[in-house]
Amino acid sequence: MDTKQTLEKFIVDELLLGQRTQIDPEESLTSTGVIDSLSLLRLVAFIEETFHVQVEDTELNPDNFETLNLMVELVDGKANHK
Amino acid sequence: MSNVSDVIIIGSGPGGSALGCYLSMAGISNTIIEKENHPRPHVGESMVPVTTRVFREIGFLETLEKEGFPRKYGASWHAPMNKGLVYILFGEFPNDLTNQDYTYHVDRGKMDMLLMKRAESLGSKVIQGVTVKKVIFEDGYAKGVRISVGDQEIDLRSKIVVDASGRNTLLGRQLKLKVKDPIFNQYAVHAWFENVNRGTGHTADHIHIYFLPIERGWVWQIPISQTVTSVGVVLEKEAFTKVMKGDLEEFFHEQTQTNENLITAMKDAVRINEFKTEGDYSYKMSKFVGNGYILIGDAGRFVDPIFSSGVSVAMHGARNASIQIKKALEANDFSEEMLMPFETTMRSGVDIWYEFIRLYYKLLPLFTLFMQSKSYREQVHKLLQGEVYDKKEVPVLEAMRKYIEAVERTEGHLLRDQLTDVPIDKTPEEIFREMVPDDEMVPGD
Repeated sequence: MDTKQTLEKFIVDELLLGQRTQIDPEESLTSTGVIDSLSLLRLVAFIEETFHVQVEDTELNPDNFETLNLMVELVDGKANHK
Repeated sequence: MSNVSDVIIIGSGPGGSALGCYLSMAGISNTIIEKENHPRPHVGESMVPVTTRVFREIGFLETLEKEGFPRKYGASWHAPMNKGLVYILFGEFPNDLTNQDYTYHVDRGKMDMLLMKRAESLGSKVIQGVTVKKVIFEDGYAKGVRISVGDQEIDLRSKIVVDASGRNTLLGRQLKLKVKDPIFNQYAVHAWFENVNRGTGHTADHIHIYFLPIERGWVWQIPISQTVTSVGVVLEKEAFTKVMKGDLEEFFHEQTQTNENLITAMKDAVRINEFKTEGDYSYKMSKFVGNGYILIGDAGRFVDPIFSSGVSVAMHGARNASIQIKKALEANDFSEEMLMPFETTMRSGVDIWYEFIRLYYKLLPLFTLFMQSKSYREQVHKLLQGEVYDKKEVPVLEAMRKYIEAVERTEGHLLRDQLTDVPIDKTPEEIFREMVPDDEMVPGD
């Protein structure tokens, strides 16, 4: 699985508990409440553990987390710089 | 007039009775005076694992096992929306003080009675159904207590008086030591239920905490027996006053309808006793020791019960008090100075709980993050198990604080709107120092 698939699977299975089967990569997630703050932090923990990267305290903003595509960009960007 | 015993203990809750046990085991004569007759109901039904150390030392662990108190293997938290739960299992990081991967949920009526009997069997004198009117002072030293029996008042004398009167805070009120907590003023409504759906699998025997979509609002679910479950709603008093319209029943029902998982748990629940309320929640005394006296447990300080810390603080207070009392008797010195090490230890322990509670309420989601963080998971676990005594530094609390500060100063941070107005810039000491003792406060019970 690539980054996008891995993230989508976690969001769908663990955060939305299968209420949805897929997510549009450009869909707004945090501003619309699809992902709430508790879920967001579970997602951060998942990203750090799965991709072995560190999400900084100050990176938790819409520029990095509003859509699936932005998350992928953040994670891949970090992974490439290791 | 001669002393009734070396030590008089006011109250036979877990703190008073544990102290009786420790003192009796050390050969120190002690009398416990209890205003009620056991068994009597009491809130505070969930334990943390480090308390096992005290249970073991006073020879009470066998009783807990034999009497079949439900084992508590962990704790679970539920967000308001049904998006899964977060839980911990104590067995993941066994704490250093006990060799047991679980603690207990207890019917306090039953446990407190058995603990009192334990103290008695070890040699404590126990007097039940007798009210202590006040602590007697002579030459600036506590010298005993005045009790009322029928229409008579009798003075009983001792070398040291320990106030373990719980939220009644007998000596704190007498000496006007009581300071109300400036941040936390919560209110709880609770009762026992049958047919609560505790879920299945390994989290069924946990304490369950359900977050409510209202600031600092949450619900506890604690197994009392195979069939009985304690459920309590905790709210800021201000919020409570706003939402409380009808009777307690209606209020309770409305609040337990605001969390998806809680709705499921309470669907078929049937209440089996009267609702009880607890107000004027958090406070502390400006000192825990003075000439001839010591305050332990809730008689000294009460913090928000979100982490089930209360009984642990009371019983460790008993443990530490017994050590200091022994030294005082050996030195025949009962001065405040002599007893001060007790205050120092207890203060730093409870301050750690308090800081944890404050940061927790400041940014609720952060707790979830830290619990799942590889680097901090173990530390959070150990805090939750109650390892707060004899600790100088707690790095995870520092890290939580730094994180919150980052959220506060970062524009557009996704957690910013989750920040509450709980002040964290001052130390608890500074906050309390600004407060004036509150004479108006009434006992919680």
